Amino acid sequence: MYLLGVLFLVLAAAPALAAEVTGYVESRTQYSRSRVHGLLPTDAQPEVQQILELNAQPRHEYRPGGFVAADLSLFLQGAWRYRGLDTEGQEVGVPVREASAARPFVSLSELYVSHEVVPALHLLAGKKRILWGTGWAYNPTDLLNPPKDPTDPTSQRVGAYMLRVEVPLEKFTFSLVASPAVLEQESGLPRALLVYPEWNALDHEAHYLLAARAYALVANADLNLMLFHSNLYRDDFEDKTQLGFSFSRYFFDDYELHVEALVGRGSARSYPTPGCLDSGEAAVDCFRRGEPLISQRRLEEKRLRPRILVGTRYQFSDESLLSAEYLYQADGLKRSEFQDVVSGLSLLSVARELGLDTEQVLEQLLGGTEAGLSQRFRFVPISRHYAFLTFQKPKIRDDFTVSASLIANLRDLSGLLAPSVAWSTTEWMTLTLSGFVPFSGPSSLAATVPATGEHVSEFELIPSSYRVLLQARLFY
Amino acid sequence: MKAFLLALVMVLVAGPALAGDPTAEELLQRYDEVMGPRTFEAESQMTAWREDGSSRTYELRMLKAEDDKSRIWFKSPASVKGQEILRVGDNLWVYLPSVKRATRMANRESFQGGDFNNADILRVSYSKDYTGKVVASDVPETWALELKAKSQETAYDAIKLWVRKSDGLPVKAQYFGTSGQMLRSAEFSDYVEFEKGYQRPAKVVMRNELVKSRRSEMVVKSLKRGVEVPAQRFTQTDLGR
Repeated sequence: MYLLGVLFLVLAAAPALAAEVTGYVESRTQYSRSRVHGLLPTDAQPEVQQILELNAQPRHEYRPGGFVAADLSLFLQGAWRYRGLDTEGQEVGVPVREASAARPFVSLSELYVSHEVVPALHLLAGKKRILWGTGWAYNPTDLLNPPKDPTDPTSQRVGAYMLRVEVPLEKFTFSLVASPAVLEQESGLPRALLVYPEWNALDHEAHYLLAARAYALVANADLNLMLFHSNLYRDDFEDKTQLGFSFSRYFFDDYELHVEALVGRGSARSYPTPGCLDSGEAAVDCFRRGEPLISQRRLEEKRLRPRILVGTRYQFSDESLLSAEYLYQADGLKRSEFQDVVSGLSLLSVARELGLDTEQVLEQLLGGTEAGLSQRFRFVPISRHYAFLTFQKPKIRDDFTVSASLIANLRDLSGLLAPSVAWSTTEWMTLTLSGFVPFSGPSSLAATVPATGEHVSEFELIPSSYRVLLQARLFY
Repeated sequence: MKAFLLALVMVLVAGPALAGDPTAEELLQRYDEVMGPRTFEAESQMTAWREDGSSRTYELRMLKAEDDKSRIWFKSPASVKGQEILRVGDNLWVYLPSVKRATRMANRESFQGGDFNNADILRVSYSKDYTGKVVASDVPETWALELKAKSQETAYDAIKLWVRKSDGLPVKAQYFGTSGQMLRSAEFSDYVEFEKGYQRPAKVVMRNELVKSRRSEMVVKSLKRGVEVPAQRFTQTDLGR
């Protein structure tokens, strides 16, 4: 918070060469049909939601090459129609449990000062979104920022707190980044960075990420080589070093090819302990033996567990764009492990009926998310093989853009289809109508819920059967 | 002897005229010097007229350096403010403030959805990209040039260009695809002396020949040549700063 205060002071006190504010006002109206009979709880998820975002992006240039910038949003929201199951298993309306769902909150996406000492030396301090990887829907090397929405890669603007030193040269750039983890935050604003405060000292460790990047423009290709060293930064890796790489180039005029990879030993992912979640009795047995039901058993593993994304974009003569990407995660869940997750979720739903709080375990099983800008859809890939396909056709009757995104788990062939139509009604207003339809794969590839024998594939875990979203954005 | 004398007279008469005719290379170099000076900074306005008769206007700032480097900042309207385009040789990136990152793009993408494409704006180096020959002109007081692309990297397969005989400034152009179909045509007008001794058309109207009701108009409001800019302004990592 001290850093933020200093930045605000710089913003206010510096003599202005140029100061400006841009931004937008956006209304999002969403209807989501709750999957009340699914494995994940729906009683904290409204079916009808109205969000109003007031965004401001001030920028204040205090000298040539030096500026302070921010990206700040105030969200006002209303939520209605919460659905769940009664004791008989019948769908019923449930009272609002998440008081925060209707509370206004502030989200600080960026606030930083950027200072060019000389053209070949840049300094940056504050909260900033930087992305070095070349992936479009997903970035394996993005260890800094909160996860983005692969069905709408333009919707994520939240960055990370950092100090950055950058040496840009004509064909090379060298960057060093030090980022403290946000350990406590309220309404998107940090209350503790790097170490836990004394009044809530969960540990006494420093939580940070150090990153070094070398960029080169070689043979008309963008190449990035990255080195990360982290300690309890967004995951449970301690003193962990990982290597990153990315590449992007156009071939034959219109075919873009990109590769992005992160290589490190082990995985911070949580895995169910085999056999411990098959039934309530098995779980009790494991508990009695002192065996954890869920563990990070690959945390200290020496084996390399790369995450690799390969993708291409092609532009048709009518300017339509087709993007296809494939993601491989060596630490992703195998079929048997996904079966264990489904068994675990089945047990958790029983535990919830008994009144137990299962939220933390759920996050461990499915990957946590972070508070920030409310997104259309958050995606934490848990399996090994994914495909991302996006097709976009702009300039239909000048102002309409039709697009469709598909995310598919290539093991169980379940996925999510997200079509949308955007209409630029004027130079300052865009209306977008989007749909989100998860679909299941064949039963033979799906996991089975032990209690009911029901087949469940990954994208059937999403706690809504479909969603429709209408956005109206007014730029200023 | 009589024939020899006649031939001599013909050569003496025709000689000065032949020596005064510029070559295609010279005309192309002149075009490049006028339309894409070695280095410059310019403020421009582009208006795209659409099929329904409505229009969209964009304000932009452009910086050009040697070695095929150029960069554009969009200043208005608010929906595109902060967008940037960078070209370094055959490489083209777009920076979108909504994503806060730069991505590569193809040369042939249309420039901000208008009827110019990126190469029209960012790659004015006809003498490098095309071979040309002078042909008979159907426009009075102009030279006509037929240009043929040297490689497939260019935005057009062929261009027909008319330039004024008096000063070599462009008057109009037609742009053709590989099939030989005319894709676009341009009219150059409003000749302005932006600096002492440097005159160029301030207005270019690009018509879409495939959709006749579409056209885009680029008006250069100010232009300063010979600007000194650090090489770092033309790097992918500088986008968004």
